[in-house]
Amino acid sequence: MSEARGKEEKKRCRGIIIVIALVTPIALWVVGARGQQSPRTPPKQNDNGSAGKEIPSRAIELSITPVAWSPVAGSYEPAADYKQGAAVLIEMVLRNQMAEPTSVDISVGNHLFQWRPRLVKDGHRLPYRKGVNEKLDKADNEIHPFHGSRVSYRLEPATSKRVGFLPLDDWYDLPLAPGQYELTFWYRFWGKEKPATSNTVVFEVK
Amino acid sequence: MKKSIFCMGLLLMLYCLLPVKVKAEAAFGYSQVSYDDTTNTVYAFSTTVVPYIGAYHYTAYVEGYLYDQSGHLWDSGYDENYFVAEVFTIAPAVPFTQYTVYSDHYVVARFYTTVDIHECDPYCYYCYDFFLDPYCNYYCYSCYQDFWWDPWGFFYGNPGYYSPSSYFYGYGPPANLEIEYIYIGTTFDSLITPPPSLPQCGNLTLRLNAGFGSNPGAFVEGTTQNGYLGALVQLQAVVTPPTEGTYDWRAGGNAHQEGVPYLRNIYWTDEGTHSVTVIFKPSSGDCQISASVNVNEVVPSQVTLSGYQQAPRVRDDCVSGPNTFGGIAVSDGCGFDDPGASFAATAQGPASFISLPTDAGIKFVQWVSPFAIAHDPNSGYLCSTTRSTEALIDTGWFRDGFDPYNLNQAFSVFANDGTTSLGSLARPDPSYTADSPGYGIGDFDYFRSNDYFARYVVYWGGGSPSQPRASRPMAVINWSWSSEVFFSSRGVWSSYTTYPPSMPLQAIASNSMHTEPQGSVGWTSCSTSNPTPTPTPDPDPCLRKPWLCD
Repeated sequence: MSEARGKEEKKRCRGIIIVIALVTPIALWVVGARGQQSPRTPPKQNDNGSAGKEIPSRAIELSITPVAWSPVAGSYEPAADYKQGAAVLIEMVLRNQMAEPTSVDISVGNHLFQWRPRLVKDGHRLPYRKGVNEKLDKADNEIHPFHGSRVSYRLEPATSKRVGFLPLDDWYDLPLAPGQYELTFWYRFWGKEKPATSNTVVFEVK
Repeated sequence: MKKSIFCMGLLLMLYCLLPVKVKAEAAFGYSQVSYDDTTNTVYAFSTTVVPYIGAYHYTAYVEGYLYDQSGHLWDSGYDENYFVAEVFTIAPAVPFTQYTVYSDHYVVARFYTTVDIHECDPYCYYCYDFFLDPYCNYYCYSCYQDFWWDPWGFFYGNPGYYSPSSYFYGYGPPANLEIEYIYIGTTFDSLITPPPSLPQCGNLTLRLNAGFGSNPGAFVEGTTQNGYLGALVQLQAVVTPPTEGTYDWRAGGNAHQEGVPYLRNIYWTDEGTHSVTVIFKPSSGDCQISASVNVNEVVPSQVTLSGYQQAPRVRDDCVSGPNTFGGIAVSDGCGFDDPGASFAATAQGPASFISLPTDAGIKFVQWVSPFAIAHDPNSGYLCSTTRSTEALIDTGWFRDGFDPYNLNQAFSVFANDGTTSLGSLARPDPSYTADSPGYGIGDFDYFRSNDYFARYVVYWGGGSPSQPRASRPMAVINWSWSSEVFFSSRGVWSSYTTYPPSMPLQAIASNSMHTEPQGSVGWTSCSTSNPTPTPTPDPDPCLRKPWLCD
């Protein structure tokens, strides 16, 4: 009886060793392949950004437009280029693509947490200004990143709502050097929802 | 007797602390420049006036400087006197030249010593004790009281070397006399002398057409017109019959102008009446013709500001759906249907004006001094504040978001009738200028908050609402909310108290406002000896943070 059990245990051990021997090289290959990925590219928008965990999301579209003040119109109007040193301001518009109305909250005092830009010049991403990454990491890891003032918007189905104008100086060193820039923004609803990715706009600093 | 001395001492202390609020009326100054065409001379006066009561403690002092448009100093002087200090400056009048007199106004404060002889008290060593300690009696004790006699609180000004109000006795040895020149401000006035007297072009007329304003296209030469401070004024010189020639434009005051020869866009950053003159010389050069208009730069005189605040409460969620706090929150208002503190403002300027109405308006700007403390079972006590202590509500202020409020979009522009409105008290808030501040508290087992806000309505003129050429605070609503939440276990609240109840908010006129820059606050350990743990680095930030991908 005990001899039979011993044989069975030996069999099981052998099986485990075979499995380990097969799995280890595959795992090492996968890790090595990931380590060689360079340069990294943004994941596709459909990617939920977290392996195996479904992130709640709402079909809200973010569109951005570079704007400049027009005294005659009394409003900010689309701009394709800026003089060096002029304030680059980006209009933020949210559009509800769902069948039912929904609400979003815009943080007034903690906009750094809620909005994330990616500015590209000559194919290279411009790094954030010194100290900004630390600020953002701190906000990201706060127990409750949202507190303080906020403004709420009701987004009716298939309608757009402007939620504000953002300057770039909270993230980047200004003035921007002359050249052509591509800008994309991400809007984070409340940190636990999938962010909305904007269109990419191109503007020029002369 | 002791009581009365004690009371006198207290009264005297209060008297020393009181004046800060009234110092604006304590002295005033003005500048005036004029042109005498008979002597062809420019005269300027610089005056500082100290009223009768003020003259008991201060003397008036003024310095006057008369410049031309190229920065050449023609004349200067200074004067000090008991009630009125006046400087008279003079310059020859060069034709078609702008002269400006700048006046620096001061009051001169004098430090002096008085000696009060009191009877000695072996237990009372200082006059401070003598006045404030009821156990002190008045036995032969000599007190030297060195008064910095500054009842109107000029010691708050700069520059200067002054005893703060809290030092009741000031400093310096007895009978030591010190003099302080306390800067009050600078005023100026300017004019443009008439053009050289070439013969008038009898066959030509020159008119000035205002391109903007309540009546665009109107001819305004020879009149005085209103303009909104900082906003563009467009003037076009119209020569009839059309003739080739040159245009020479001059604008008084702190004017900035650009444009083409026959048309000028002008704005000013100083209030008051400024003349604009254009001289046209035909190509033949044998005659000239001129036209002028006076522009009175103003800000709206009638401004209203009102507000309404909802009672804060704990919410498991908002009626309108999930909120930014991600679950249990204590907040003032919640979501679109339920704004916390809402505000409405109107401004009325002159109905007749020649500046671009859409180049000026009003905006909301808000400052905050937040305080919150919470207990997290894992991290201990956490604080979210910039204040020195919870009670010191004068500290820790920073601008709440952008200028204008709400991601730069809480602003309005003037209509052609000189009116504008901003915000709304309606529910839901159609203007998106309300504030629904709050805190997510889902991970805590204790929470307390105490936030103070100052919501200003500000006039802006020219440039853009976020970077105007001119701005003036008009009124403010100071508002606050506080809460204390108790929990039966982590994230499960059992009871709470909040303040205030739902109520209207009162505004007060204000021509000054906070200046602290934009800021933010976050949760950190209340104890510096127990810092918040450093977050674990994200192994693959690109995956979760595409904005960081190269």
